[in-house]
Amino acid sequence: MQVAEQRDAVAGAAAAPTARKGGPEAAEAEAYGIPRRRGRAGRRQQSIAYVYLLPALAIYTLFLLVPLGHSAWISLYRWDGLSPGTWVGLHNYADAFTDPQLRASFVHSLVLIVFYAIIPVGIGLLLAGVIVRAPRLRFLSAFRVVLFLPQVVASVVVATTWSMIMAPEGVLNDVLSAVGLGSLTNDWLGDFSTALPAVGLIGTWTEIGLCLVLFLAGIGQIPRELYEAARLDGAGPVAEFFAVTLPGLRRQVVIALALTVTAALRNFDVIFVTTRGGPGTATTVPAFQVYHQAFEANAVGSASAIGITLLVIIGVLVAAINRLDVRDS
Amino acid sequence: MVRWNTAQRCAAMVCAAGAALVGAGCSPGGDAASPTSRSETRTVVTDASKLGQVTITEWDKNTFAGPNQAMKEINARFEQKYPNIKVKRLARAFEDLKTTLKLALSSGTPPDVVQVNQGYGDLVAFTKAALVRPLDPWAEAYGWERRYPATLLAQNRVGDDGTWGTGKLYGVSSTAELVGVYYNKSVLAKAGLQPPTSYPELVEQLAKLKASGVQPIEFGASTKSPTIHLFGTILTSLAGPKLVNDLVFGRDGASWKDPKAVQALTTLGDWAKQGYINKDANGKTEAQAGADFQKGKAAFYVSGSWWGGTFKSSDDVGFVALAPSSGAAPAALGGLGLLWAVTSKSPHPDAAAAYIDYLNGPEAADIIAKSGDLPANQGGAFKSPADSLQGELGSNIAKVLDAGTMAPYLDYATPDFYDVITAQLQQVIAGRTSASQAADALQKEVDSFKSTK
Repeated sequence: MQVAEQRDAVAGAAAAPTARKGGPEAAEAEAYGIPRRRGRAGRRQQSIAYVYLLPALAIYTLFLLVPLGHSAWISLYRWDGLSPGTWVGLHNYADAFTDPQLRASFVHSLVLIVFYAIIPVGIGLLLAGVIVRAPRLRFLSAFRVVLFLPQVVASVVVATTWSMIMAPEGVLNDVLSAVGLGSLTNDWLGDFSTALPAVGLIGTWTEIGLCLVLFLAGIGQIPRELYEAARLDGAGPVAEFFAVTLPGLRRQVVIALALTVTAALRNFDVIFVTTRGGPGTATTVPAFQVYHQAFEANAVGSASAIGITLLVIIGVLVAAINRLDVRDS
Repeated sequence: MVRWNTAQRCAAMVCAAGAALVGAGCSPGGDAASPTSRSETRTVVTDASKLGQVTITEWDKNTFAGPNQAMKEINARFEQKYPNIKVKRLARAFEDLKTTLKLALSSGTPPDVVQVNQGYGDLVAFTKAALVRPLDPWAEAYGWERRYPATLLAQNRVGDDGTWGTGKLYGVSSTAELVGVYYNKSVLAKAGLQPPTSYPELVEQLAKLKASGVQPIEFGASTKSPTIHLFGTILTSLAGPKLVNDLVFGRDGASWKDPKAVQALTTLGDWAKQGYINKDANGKTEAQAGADFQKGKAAFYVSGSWWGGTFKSSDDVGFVALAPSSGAAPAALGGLGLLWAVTSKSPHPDAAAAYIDYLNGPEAADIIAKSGDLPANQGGAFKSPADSLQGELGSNIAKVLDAGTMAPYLDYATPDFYDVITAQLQQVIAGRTSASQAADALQKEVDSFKSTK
């Protein structure tokens, strides 16, 4: 229950920046802090607006806020899920930060952010900067479909495929041996030092497509004249990228970061399928700990505390990422 | 900026809701029944034909082809024997059963008979919440205690204080499992070796095989549980089943820092370092390693009787439970299959107990043995041919049960022990932690569990 609910919460948080795209003006006004209309008429209009919000709010409350509140409540107890729980206050939260294993799982997810968010956004920007130089893009929509495919394929399928590729006798090692790099072959997902980066690279592969598709859409909206002006002023490819492409893509970068950082932090499926948190505890992440604590270790209180902590961390990070957008405009 | 306010409002609502619940003095699971101390004073009826028209529902985990067929046959025969009792069956894969059972048991209308995993995670948690019923009166009436060695039946007992392994009996198991050494006859023959019968013999052969360029043991540790089977086999051989029992049941005085336990950890690390187990063990699954062993890639595969069904298709594979020293009785890791328990809320405990009695009787034992599984009840008439793999599994478990030298699975020690020990063993195999550091970590887990109990 905890995992599903947390995912919903995460989806909500991730949806926020996307929603902005729909109403650029409103977002602009909001971004610049333009005050809304006050006064009697305005207030009445506002209260009517809340009536229209009621059905959505009711569903949101029933399926999200109530379970969330319930988890927050459970997180204050030591509870095995069956017999009556014991009040422990914030002890479960203290554990999440002091227990070396739980703390390590949060550190692992920070490492995953590099692979899930920073590298894909970087590579996406680089590729977008190159593609924009191409004189004419044929088959662009076909490229988009191909690039987006990893997002469409079920994550369990992605993880299973990659664990076969990275297996000791998998394709990756076969290819390395075939090109004379046999000394580099490794048990990628089973080696303590490579397991976490290996899992991370699966994320990189999945997220690059998303970033690039977002960026290509964004580039389409940058006025061609800006590029012409830049070229007239004698800007080379690098200067052009930093002067035109990057600023023009700011909003897309923010969206891409918010989505990919969230994906990195709530990673459960890929870990569960590829490593189950192993070898040892080298790839445990908070979402995996939630599952483990709730369903295997009978520690529902601790699971809830980790879930809530994860939710807060994601909320803070996404809010911080959104502020990037505001400040620079 | 509005976003922040919304976030704050949400947070405030969540806090308010939580505070309201806390303020109302609720605690999760608070309306569950009070812990067991209820004494059974009712008269036990063992003649199931006198119980009137009854329908009982059972949940089991026998979804594999062989066990599934056996289960169907057992239910049909039971209904034939007692036409007044109908059995409704619901089979779920083990993992699904484990997670859904908790919800089902705490609901108002749980099934009557359920298969429960032993240990603190499931059985003890269920007894603490009084969700399953102590069956001592029925055990006495049916004579269940005479069917199984006491050390084995201890796995199905829980004390009123929540101590596992002693106290009231909560059920019996129809199947048994044994962990031992599968060997490939032709690989051994090519190296000029006879199948080992004792641990020292095995160790000697490992070195010989390695020296002649044959992979001694095929091992897949990424699935985690095989680490327990391999290490448990070493530990049982070096330390003896008594110490293993004491360690797992947390009996006073037993410590994972015991020199014997540390020696076993050192041995595991050595086997990895010497290449007695394959280098890529930590990245291989149990299934991959088993398949590679069957193909003849290695001489030995250390695992449990559940592989019998797969390996019986190749004539090359044999099985042996090792004796700690030559001439001694074999000692091995193993245990009862999941126990059959009766839920506290079941309105038909007598019919449920009659069904469990039949499940563990000699007739059912024959059906189970014919399906390729190992029955816990050794009183059945059916015996597989002695030279078949099934026959070897059967005779080995009979020897171990006879000698009372079975050691329980190590992960039962605490609710979290499975994760702790498999992580430590993977690190020992990778040479990332020393035997004494691993022993410290294991003992720390046991100590912290004891202090919170």
